Amino acid sequence: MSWGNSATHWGLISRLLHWFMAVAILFMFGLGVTMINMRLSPMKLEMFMVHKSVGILLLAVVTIRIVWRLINPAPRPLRSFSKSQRAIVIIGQLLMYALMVCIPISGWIINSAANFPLQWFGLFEIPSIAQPSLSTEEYAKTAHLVLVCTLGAIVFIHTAAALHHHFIRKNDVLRRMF
Amino acid sequence: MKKFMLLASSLLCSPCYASEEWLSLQTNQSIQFTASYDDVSFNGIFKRFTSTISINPHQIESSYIRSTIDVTSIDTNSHDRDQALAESDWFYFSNFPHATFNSTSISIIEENYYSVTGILKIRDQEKQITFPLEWRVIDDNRAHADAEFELDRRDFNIGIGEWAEDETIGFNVSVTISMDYEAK
Repeated sequence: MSWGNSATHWGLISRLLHWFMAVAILFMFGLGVTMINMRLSPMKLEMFMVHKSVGILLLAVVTIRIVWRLINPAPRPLRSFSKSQRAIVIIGQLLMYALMVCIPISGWIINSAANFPLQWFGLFEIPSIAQPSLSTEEYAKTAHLVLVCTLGAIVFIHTAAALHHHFIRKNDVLRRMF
Repeated sequence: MKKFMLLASSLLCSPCYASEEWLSLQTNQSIQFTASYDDVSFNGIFKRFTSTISINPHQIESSYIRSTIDVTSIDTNSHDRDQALAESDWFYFSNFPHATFNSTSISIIEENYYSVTGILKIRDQEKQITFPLEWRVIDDNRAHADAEFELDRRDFNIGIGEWAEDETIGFNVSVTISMDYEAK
């Protein structure tokens, strides 16, 4: 098992980054849905703090992932893939990377515009990236929601496609990531 | 001649130490405070208030300060936070829209510096507080007050129930007053 990607398999670094982000995104989705439906309480604010901290962590991790992807080419697509299938895979991946960058940034804008502190896991303060503004906060909240729903839909298709390739077409697409 | 001397001395002294009342100006003025959320400080202001001061160093025992603060004018530069502060666990705007401060005694520390003791009432809680006040009469129509003091929000039931601990919102609140007054 190599650290870098090979022509046929994702390397250890890529796999770790992929599965860490997969688990973290699912956790963030569950936490986000739970906390926005709670009444205001110290527990809700604690959950917000965790959500914001993990969001910033994910922004850092996706940045590393993008850099790693750029310096470490992905495995070749399966030969059985048609041109259009390859194009769909590339567009889907680009869209997911874009969403994984934009979602935490929109959350960061919400927090900044709401003029709330951003204490990273209670360790240190992360600066604001927007001036306090109710309208900016509302725009960013709408953007955050739309982007999360879009990512949710793409992750669902991505997962369904991976399972389809593994169980129906019985090819190596899913095995490459384990 | 004696009468003339008395009149002259009273006229000379009256602009400096007149016992007239001074009323706080409302334009571009605020009562500022600093509190903390997740151990990070945030600032807030009360935009609307009325304060009347009467201080005469020669009749200090009859000097007084009376203030009423419209707590619904709170602004912490955060819409979400301001909405939360209106709720019953915090300032409870619907039941307690005003806070008051009435001095019970004022003593002179040195020229222009006084120690003020009085009753601060926020929500349904009253507490005696003492703070230093710098009071300067600038001219016949203008005067200025500066004061700073610390409060513990628990003394006034600000943040009760689940908010009674300081894990998220700190207990200490620093209040800063820098206010212009005009002769009444």
